[in-house]
Amino acid sequence: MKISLPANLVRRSLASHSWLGLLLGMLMYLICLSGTIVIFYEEIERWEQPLAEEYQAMDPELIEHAFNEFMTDGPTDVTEHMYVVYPSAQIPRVKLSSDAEGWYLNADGSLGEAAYDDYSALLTGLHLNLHLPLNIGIVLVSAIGALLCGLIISGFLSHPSIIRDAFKLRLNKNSRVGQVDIHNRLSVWGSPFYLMIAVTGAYYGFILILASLFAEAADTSSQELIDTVFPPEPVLENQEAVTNLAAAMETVAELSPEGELLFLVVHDADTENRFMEFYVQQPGRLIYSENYRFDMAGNYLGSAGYSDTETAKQILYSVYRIHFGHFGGLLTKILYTIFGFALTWVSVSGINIWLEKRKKRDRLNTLWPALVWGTPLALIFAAFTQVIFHLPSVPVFWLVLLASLVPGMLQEDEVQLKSQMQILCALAILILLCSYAIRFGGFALAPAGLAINTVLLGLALIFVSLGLRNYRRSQQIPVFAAS
Amino acid sequence: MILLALIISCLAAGCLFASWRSRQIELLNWIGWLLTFSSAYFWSIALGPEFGTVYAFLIFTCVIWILVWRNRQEAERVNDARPVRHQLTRPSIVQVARNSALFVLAVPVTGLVSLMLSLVLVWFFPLTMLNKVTTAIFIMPLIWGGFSTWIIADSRLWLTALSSLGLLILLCLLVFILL
Repeated sequence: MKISLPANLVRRSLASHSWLGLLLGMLMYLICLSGTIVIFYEEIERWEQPLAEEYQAMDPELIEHAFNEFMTDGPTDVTEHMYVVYPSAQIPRVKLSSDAEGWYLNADGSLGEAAYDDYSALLTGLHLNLHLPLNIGIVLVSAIGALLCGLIISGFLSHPSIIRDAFKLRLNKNSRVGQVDIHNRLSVWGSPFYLMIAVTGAYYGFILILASLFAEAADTSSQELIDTVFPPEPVLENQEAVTNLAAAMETVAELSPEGELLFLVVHDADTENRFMEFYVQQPGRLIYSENYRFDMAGNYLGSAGYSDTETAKQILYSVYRIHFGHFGGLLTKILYTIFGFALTWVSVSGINIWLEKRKKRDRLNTLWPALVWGTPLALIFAAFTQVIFHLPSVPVFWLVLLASLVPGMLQEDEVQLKSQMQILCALAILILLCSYAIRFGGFALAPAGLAINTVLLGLALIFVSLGLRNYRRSQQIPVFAAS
Repeated sequence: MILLALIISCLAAGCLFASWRSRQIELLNWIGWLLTFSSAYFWSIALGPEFGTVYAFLIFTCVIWILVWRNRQEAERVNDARPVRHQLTRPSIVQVARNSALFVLAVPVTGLVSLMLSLVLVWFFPLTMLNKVTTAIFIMPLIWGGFSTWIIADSRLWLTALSSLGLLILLCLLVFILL
């Protein structure tokens, strides 16, 4: 069965799909791959510092004592925001931090190991703003989200055999047919998810711009408009630097007995207008949290009202969790990982199809796989320098990615190139794992390190297997030569 | 209830696959889509309406992909990669100019148009300001994507340039002066 679309429309839509795909391909690949990995950013953050003591809960009095000391006589300067992050299933530790740095608490409430989240920040930075200045990067990434909608629309319009081929997957001799089938099956069936990701992704970069436009049209200020979505901060004076945190936590537990306490932010912590805001996740809800506000003496000031407010406000406050898959536990994360990799694959296979379709073959045929396989290599290198040596690794990531173009410029056979890059990725992971074991000793096998290390080992085995398969293929006499 | 919802999602995908394979049974196709949407109800009962709706679509798609994988036709891959014989092909100046113009039109200009247009489209609806902003932020990427697709698909660059710039000026007038 065919959907009958005018042939001209199909042809033009296909041209449009190719043009947009080529424009966005590489950036989309970076955003999708990093987005898929950052689904597990909490687990990665835990893996970055396996030496910290772990526990499921801590006495509120101990946390209060530790935080008050942190605020008044801590190892770091008090910044605009100060945080207490509570233990969760993903990171069973209490973390005290400023806007700049943080420490984990030992089980007895004393200040323990320094908290490192630089590598997970590198990954989230790559996904959110491609490591560009935040204001520019977030708009660029959001624009790519909006253009993904264009790719989805043009993809459907250029696919008249969408129903006839709905379950077709021909992984046989012709690699182009295989690429086309994988690309189409993953993209057509996954399109509701991709559309959701595209629309929610576009939200972050454009909500403030759109709010300013609305404010302009309505003759009001942007802040006034934003205040209708996010309740304005309470205005307090003469607030002490020390908090009555335990009493406030008790009130939060009464207000939201089934909620999961995520973290506490002390706003304006470096002034006497400071106040406390507790973020509490609500079971079964997509809203990020319900927020409860207190003065520093622990007197309840009110809730933000996200859980029982207008639907529009709840939708806006649900965007984060629905975009990143942070709801419903590990199963949701696994499902989002599957869909994230699917979209990553779609991004790569789209360019592969274009390359295969061309009549000529030039350096692009080897540069593209070099970049594709150079990206995981660059991420592994950055993990090595960041986690093992605590070196700032954003430049390392980009330098390795740039360097991966060199084999693409030298190698003539793309199958052999892929094989070499895959084996190199596997070797890099093994070096990372060995270094991690040397750096952290037995903690590499403790719960904090084990999960990610096992995944890394699994990835190394997959890369080896792919590399060997491609090596065998590269040793065959090419069919064009044989014929 | 989760098990029932899972079974319905599997049945939905199974019906669609059976209908596709037989290529004749329209009824199975209809039942498949009916089950797909009704599975959202069962997932909602099992996990709540918010998580349930998301799970209904994610699980259904995963089952479909499993069926696609089971339906694969496979043969041993051969090495059909030809060695690279040329360095990068340089595009002509005309190609560079056309693609640059297309980029400006399809990305920044269309982006501005979609921002303004989403505002204007919701402005006259009897909604609260919050609802207007919320609706606009979610339709904006769809307008942008659709508009970009049209601009790139149309071979008459001058026509798309004139119409998008004209629309942009008109929308700017509306937003900054008339509203």
